[in-house]
Amino acid sequence: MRWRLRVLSLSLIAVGIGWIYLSNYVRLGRSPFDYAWSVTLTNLGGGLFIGLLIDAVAGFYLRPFFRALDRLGANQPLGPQERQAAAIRAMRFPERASVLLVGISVGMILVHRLVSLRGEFFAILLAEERRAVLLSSMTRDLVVALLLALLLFTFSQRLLKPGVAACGLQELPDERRFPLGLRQALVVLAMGLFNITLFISAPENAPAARLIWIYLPPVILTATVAYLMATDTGRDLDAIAGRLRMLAAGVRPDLFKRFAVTEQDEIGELVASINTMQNRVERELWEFERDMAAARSIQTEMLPHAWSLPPGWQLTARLFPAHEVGGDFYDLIDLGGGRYGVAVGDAAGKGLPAALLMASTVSLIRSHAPFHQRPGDLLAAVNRMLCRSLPPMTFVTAAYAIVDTATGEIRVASAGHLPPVVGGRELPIISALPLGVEPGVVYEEQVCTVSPGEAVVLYSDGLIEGADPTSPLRSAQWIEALRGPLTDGESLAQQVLQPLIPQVQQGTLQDDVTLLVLIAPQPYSLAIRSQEGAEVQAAEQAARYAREHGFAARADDVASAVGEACLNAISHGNRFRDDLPVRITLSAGPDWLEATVADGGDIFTPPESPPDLAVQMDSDEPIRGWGFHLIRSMADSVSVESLPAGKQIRMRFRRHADV
Amino acid sequence: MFDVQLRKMHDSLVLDLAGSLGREGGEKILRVVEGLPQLPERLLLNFGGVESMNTAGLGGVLWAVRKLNKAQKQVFAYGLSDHFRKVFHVMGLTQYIAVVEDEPAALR
Repeated sequence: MRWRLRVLSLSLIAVGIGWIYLSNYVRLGRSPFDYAWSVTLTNLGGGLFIGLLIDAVAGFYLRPFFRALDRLGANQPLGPQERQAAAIRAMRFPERASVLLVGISVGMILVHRLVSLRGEFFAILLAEERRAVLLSSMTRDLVVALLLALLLFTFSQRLLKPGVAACGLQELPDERRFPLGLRQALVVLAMGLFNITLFISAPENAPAARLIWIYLPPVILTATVAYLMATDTGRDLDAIAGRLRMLAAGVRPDLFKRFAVTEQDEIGELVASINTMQNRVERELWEFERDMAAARSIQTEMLPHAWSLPPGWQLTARLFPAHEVGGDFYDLIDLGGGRYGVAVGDAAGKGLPAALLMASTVSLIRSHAPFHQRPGDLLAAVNRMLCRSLPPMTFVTAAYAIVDTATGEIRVASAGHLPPVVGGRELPIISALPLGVEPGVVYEEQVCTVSPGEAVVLYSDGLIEGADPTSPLRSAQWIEALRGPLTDGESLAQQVLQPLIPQVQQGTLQDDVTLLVLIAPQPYSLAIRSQEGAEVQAAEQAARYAREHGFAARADDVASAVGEACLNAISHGNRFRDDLPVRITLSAGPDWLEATVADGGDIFTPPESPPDLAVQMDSDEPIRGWGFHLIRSMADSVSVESLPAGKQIRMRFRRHADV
Repeated sequence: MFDVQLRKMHDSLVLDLAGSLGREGGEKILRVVEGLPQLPERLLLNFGGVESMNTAGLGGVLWAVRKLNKAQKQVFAYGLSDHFRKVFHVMGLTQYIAVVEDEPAALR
């Protein structure tokens, strides 16, 4: 860069001297060889002096800048003060070097004329005949100096710009600037002076071909300067406009990257202002994102993540907010006695306002649910509370169900929400106004039963409306797919949500999506062969099932009862026929475990009392007939039921045995 | 699978029982008792290794007990879990089998 500056200085001087000689030749008909050697030497020496002086000044003045570039090039650390000092020097140099060039040139023009005219200078100025030529020559020299200064400014600024940018200055030092308007004024001034020169000194009847040699160089030079100034400014403005467009569009890449201030003018000021604005935007954005992340965390924490349901019941819930925070929610509330409140809702709007609304609604539902045995009553209570506090045009849609896991009974009410799906069928529910619209709304409730292996599905409208028009979610297909028997809520949720996964991953969801799946347990079934000893396997399975489903205290009773029932089925029901299996089912509720053992035999009337052991002990007959008595002693209730092809013994066990 | 091991302790015979006591197990116990050349004064049934039992298996046990009771011999049972004690109680076995805590208690 140092050498480029040197070449630039000397080139400009050479251009200037060349033009002066050309001008003299065209105007006065003096060829470069017509001058006395002393004049030529003075001209060349003066030009060389100016060039070398500028070069020396550049070397001295820009020393911190070159040092900084060397260190940056060597990947050495550079402190902010050093960077600033270096950048400021390099930014000021074009202006200062140009002023210096003009100043020295003016001085040399005067000295040159005074020396070359040997005391006749003032006399010529007074004499009308030669005054025009002298003034035109001096004006021409001044034009040359001005143009060279503008060229020096423009090219040195371009030359130094990458280095200044590397220094990474982000603010403009608060001091005098070299405005763009002044530069343009200087260009116009140079051209104006040139016209005056031409007007004064143009020989009468000079052919146009000669005049063009005078016109052409300054026209080309001024046009070059004007063009470079305009394009440099335009390029800077384009870059700034691009950054502003990115900021406006919310494009994150490069958002926090700053422009370097490279000019001490309006552009530099603009860049510094943009940087200040970006700093502010960055801080605001950081604070906003921090707050939103905290809000999301709070919102996420508000939703239940772990729950304790009666054995076999499965709950799977998914919520994908379209924004950092959303208005959708789901909840599961343990109402005691095996009853659970299940809610899904959608607060109107998006983002933070919807999230706040969602939070208050969840809190209200959660706090009021234990006091309402009917879902319609709960929605009415929440509606009353929301109507008192919500501003107009703000509402929440919600579906609330109370599920009795002991009986499978479901009571559902809806406040402007989509109907729940139970067993693969949409409930024909009468949906009332959303919450928060009008006080005193009565929410009708629908009662149905979820059978073992069936699912209760609650969801938000984002699930349907966010899906592609060709997606199965847009048709009744997905609801049909919810028909039982179902065993895995996770897989089911994954399958239902599959069409929306690309949007979730790309963050292009238009609305929050919520899906809640509650699956009633299917009975555990087992079949054994009608062989002696197979009952042991059934008893072990029954004991394990009881332990796994919260009936550990009754596991031995269950095992003994099921084992005896199987023994009965093998020997008396199926009479050891290998082609007739004994079928066992086990199902657990919150309070009861039920076991059935079915065989192909005829129904029988169970004995009301146990055998008399004393009699059996006194006889020589095998001791038998105790199985049903043992079953009755182990289970809390026993019944024998007829089946289309056989019979079954149904045994029920309380969670806690009577003491 | 059900396994019966015999041990003689003075005038007593100890049957160490292990596995699932079903019909087959009960018959095995009965066969052991019927195969004895001389009935012991006391028969000790060690249920410590029994994993499960049903009425068919206990029927076999009772058949053996009936034989010993008729000969005025004593039968003891120990190593019973709470649940097995419950089963014994339900079937009234405790009238014919003395349930004790452990082997020394039976030998006293």
